[in-house]
Amino acid sequence: MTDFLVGGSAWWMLPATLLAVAVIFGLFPGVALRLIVLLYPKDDLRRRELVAELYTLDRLQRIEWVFQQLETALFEGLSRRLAQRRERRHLEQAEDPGLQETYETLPSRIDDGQRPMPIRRSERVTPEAWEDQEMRNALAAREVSTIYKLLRRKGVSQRQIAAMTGQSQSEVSEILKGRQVMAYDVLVRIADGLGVPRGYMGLAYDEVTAQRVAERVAERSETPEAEEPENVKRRKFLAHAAAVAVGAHVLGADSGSWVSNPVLRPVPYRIGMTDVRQVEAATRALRSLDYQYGGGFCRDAVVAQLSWGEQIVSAWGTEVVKQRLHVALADLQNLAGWTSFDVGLIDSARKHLGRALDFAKAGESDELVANILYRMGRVYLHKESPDLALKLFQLGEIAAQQSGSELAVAVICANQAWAYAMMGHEDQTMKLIGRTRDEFARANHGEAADWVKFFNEDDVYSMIGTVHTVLAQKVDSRHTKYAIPALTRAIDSYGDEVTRSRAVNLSSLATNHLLDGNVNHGAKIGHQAVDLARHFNSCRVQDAMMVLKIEAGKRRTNSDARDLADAISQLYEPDAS
Amino acid sequence: MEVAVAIMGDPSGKHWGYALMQESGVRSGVLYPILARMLADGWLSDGWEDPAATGGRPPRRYYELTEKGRIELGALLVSARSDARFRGLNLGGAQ
Repeated sequence: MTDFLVGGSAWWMLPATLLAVAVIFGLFPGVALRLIVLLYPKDDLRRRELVAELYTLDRLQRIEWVFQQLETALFEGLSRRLAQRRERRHLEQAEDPGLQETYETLPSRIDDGQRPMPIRRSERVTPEAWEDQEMRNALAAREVSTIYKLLRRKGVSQRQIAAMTGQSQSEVSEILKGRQVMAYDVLVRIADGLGVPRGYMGLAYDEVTAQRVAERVAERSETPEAEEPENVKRRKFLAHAAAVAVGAHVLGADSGSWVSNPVLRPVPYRIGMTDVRQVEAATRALRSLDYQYGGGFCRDAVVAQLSWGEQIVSAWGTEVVKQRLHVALADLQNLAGWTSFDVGLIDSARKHLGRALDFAKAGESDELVANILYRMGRVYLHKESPDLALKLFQLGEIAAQQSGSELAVAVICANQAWAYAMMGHEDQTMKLIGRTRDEFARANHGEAADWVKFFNEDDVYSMIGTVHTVLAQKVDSRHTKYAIPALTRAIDSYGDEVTRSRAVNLSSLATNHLLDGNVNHGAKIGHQAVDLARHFNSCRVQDAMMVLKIEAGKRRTNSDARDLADAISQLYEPDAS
Repeated sequence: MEVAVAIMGDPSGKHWGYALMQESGVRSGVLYPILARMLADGWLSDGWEDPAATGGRPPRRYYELTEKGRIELGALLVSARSDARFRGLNLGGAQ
């Protein structure tokens, strides 16, 4: 402002119009200000307030005041005016008798003198807003920052966004500046607040969640008499897996009893790549949750997401889109199976993995088929059926080789080694460990698909450690001298994001120390594992802890070992103690 | 924050827009939205001068702290004293 007055010489260079404006401002600030305040909405108290202030000031201050108000009015007054106009439009729409909507009037004091602002409880943002391609992409990728930016572009104010989502305005502003929103519950709140169809953001539908609950109840109420015997189920499952891995099994053919086809509701629209990317993004997000917290935390969300994904399968789409959708759904089913396994729902795990296999085959992804077979095998390792697991791994290896991914082959070799170790075949185990190392060394890690990429050097060490732990227990306790360094190395390099693996490895390490006769040290590490395991609802962690409990239990004469065994019992069967 | 300091400078008095701007050193484009928010939150109450007492010029709008505002702003100032961002301000108290 002062530059304006002092820098006089430069003034003459400016266009005459600007000069005229300056003269008016200077000589008739009252007139200028009265013109400026017209930018504010009609009944805004600022119109009177700002003019009144003017008359208490001296001349120079007046000019400054007027300029400041010009600036403020342009930004604030104008935007409020536009907001008001939008509200009016909304109101007119709502007066349409066809639409029954509730209005909520904010306390009239929300913004000095501004008209009470009606906020719609439903449809706060017009539903069409979510259909726009750019918006769909942002929703699918869950880029809240972009979503907010697009809303702002449509004239929704930060304050309105904040009111709808229940966030503070400063939070909204930070997100607009690029802060990421990752937490599932916050995403849900944002989606619901704004009225985004949840599916667009890859979040669970409410009715689908209800369906899931029903499914789960059915799962629980299955009576043992009604169930097929476990060995029959296994045989059927293996036959199915073999048919898919080797044969020309296609989607829709009889998938066996564990693949219960969910009721498919008609889906009214065609699907495009955006929908597929949505499924992919949701899977990625949920998988990262799984790594971080264990399956118990996100299985519900995965299963709910799945029901939505299954529905869009029947929608119309191009071949390319369909194929990629099948792969995306296979991966999601795969995750559903894996997280179900993690929370101990074995039948449900089998069901999802079976379905995943169908989709992977339909999507013509050998690499994914290999991955799913590997996970099926892991389910059977857990069920203490290493022979069956081995067969699944072998089928998986065929698919992995067809896919040309050495990394996938490495993962499967490592697990075959595990299965052999559980069967007590020392030689075969060592041979497969060797192959794991070879394949891993040959693998092109950059090109590997997302779901095998997880298998890094730490995991190789972790697997070697695990396998030797099993051998140490079953065959020869001298294997601890291989297991301990491998596990230690894996534990040291695992970051916080894979706490579950850390918990499993700590537990195995403790077991090794116990087997080594180093009871006190083993017990100390065991307690660390117990502390970590407390945060998990994970079958795999529990498996490892149970082994540790057995070993600790054998050494009850030592008070540390006894404490450890009791602590583990406490953790998993608090009622029993 | 500066606005809070300026208002709390005279917790029981009446405050005018321009004077607050001068005291706090905050531009009116920032000041008025802050005042509006404080009003909405019930920290401030407002009123208009008595036209009879202004001698011809239009009555001004004034702002007064409410009981709630006094508590909230007081708490804000106390917590700001220990915040490095506001060290440059004269917040009174211990420092």
